[in-house]
Amino acid sequence: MKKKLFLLISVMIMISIAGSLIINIIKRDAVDSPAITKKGLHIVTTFYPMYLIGLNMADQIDALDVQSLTQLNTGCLHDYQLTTEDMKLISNADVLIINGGGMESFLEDVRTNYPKLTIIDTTQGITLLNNKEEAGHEEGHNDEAEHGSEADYDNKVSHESEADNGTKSDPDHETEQSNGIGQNNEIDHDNNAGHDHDHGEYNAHVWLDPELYIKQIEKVRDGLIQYINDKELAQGIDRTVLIRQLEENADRYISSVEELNQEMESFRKALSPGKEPPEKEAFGQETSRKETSQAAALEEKATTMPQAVVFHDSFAYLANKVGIEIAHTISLDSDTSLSAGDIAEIIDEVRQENIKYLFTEQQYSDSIAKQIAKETNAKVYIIDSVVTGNTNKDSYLTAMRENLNVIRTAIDEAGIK
Amino acid sequence: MDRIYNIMEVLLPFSWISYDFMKNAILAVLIITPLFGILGTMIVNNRMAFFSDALGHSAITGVAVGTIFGITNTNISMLLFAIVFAVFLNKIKRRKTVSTDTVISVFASLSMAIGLVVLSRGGEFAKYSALLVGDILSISIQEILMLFIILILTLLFWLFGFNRLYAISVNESLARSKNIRAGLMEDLFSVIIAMIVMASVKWVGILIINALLILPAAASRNMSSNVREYHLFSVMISVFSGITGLIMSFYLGTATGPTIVIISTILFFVTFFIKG
Repeated sequence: MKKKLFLLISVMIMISIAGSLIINIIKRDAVDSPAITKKGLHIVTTFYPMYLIGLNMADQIDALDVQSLTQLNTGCLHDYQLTTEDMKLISNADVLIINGGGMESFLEDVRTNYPKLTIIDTTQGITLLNNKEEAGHEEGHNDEAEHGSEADYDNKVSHESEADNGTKSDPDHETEQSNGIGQNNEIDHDNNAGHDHDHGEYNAHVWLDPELYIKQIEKVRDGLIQYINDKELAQGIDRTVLIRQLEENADRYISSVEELNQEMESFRKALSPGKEPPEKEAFGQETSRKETSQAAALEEKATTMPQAVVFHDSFAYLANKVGIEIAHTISLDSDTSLSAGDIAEIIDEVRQENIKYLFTEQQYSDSIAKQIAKETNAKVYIIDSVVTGNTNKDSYLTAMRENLNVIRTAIDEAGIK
Repeated sequence: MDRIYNIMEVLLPFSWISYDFMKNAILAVLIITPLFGILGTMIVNNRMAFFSDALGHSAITGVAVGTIFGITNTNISMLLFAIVFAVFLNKIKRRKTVSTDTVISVFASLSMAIGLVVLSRGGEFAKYSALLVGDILSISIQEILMLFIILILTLLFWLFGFNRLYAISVNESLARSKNIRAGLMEDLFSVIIAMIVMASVKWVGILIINALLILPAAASRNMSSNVREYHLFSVMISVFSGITGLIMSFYLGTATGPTIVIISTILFFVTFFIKG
């Protein structure tokens, strides 16, 4: 008995030593996440688009330091899980910038562990596109009445829904009204401010619309300034100077994004000359909602907007922006794969409607897209949804311009045929 | 709770202990691994490895049932479902019309399938993928309390029921002749396994929860020659791999459950060859 015990314990000790050796070897090059020596504000952003905002905001400001919670190549956060490393990073942070809208499904963990952390929810106050049909009507209806903006996208592959929501495209969806997302425009100190929705109901990829991206930048700016005003700062940091620098940076970034926005706007105008976004009065004047939207859908079809099948719901915003109608959204970010019947249905649809574009994304496999392209006239184009990249602070602008180019080429090519 | 935290900080002068989630995790590991070690011995003895695996899989249906009935605390729905599942499985098993592994397999696949069907509605399964791999940050103080209660229940059960359980595992007919109610004991044992599996499946992960139950006991069985050694080694191996796995996963940034499993697997093979 004693001998065995001794044996077992010595084996355990050996394993412990081996384990600590492994840790040491691996950790040697990745010396603990950038030593937090700098005083000042530590900003942590959840993923790439947010990181870019943070990077631009903190540009040339020594008192701010920005880190991304996830690796820059993580991509969309749909099924991201926090690691203990991430928690370490968050525990050192002053401000956490999130995309919100259900993108960060791990947020609850963060909130319970760090109730005092200031979280800036950048989509708060932005009306998100809906993925689900029922919700879409509900919300679209409210919207129509007040602002005449309607945008519901069907996340699932189904023909019936296609008939009655017709995926109207309307760039006017960023109305400052909020249903479902938080009601106030303050920084979200309140933990429960209407955050009970999650991914799947809302389309949280707002950054793909430059106009909304600007709103996110503004939200970050306001949030940071408010934080700076509220909190004690470390010595040697001048509050007013810091705020002024922040504002300058924000202005600079906003104006460059605005430039991009203009480019996209003009592209849309060129694409469908004389055609403004769907007539606002046409929608939603009470009574039979379904009929109107059906009529609207038909009208929409008649106006020959370029149609596309997209392979990630994030493109809804981009397509909206440049005036491309989305015939189908195939969500590849979920673990559920499409059934053969679904794919067949899409192929039929692509053939019937003579859809020429299949927009897919780098971060996911494009095998389905290719399969569909093979069976139809459509071509596959790859779009960057700006969720991965390097630490260049202008990545957003370059990536989006590249996207615009891709779309332009796509449409030109289709025209030549 | 704060007092416990303070004590831990004094006792363990490491940098990782300053994080509350690590304190929670350490507490959970300290409570749960001895349990795994103890229960594992009987599971291995009774050749119930497949049974506990099926129980683990039923967690996914538990969550699904919870979402259908709108139970926000999925712990409760998981636990209830698992208990029903375990007892019902035992009932069917006792009929002896089909062999045990077939029955268990049928149950396991059914529960997995129901869970997947319900949870993947509308392509939303990604939300639940954490359940498969486990998420150490999901350990809350309530869950630690729950684990603690289960620990006490298990110890009581072991104190009063071990001999009977062991008799059944040696020879069921003999046990019956000694007036031991085999069915009841088996059911109780299954319920306890169900509780412990459900209480820890969220941070260990459905895919590997069974390994934590089986491996320490299996490793210990390799080198022990009586029941006392068997228990002692099993608990030691279980606690050791739990703590080491947790700390390593902290430094390496890996998922905790699998790291623990790898360590206990190493121990299994080492003991296997020592014996040989």
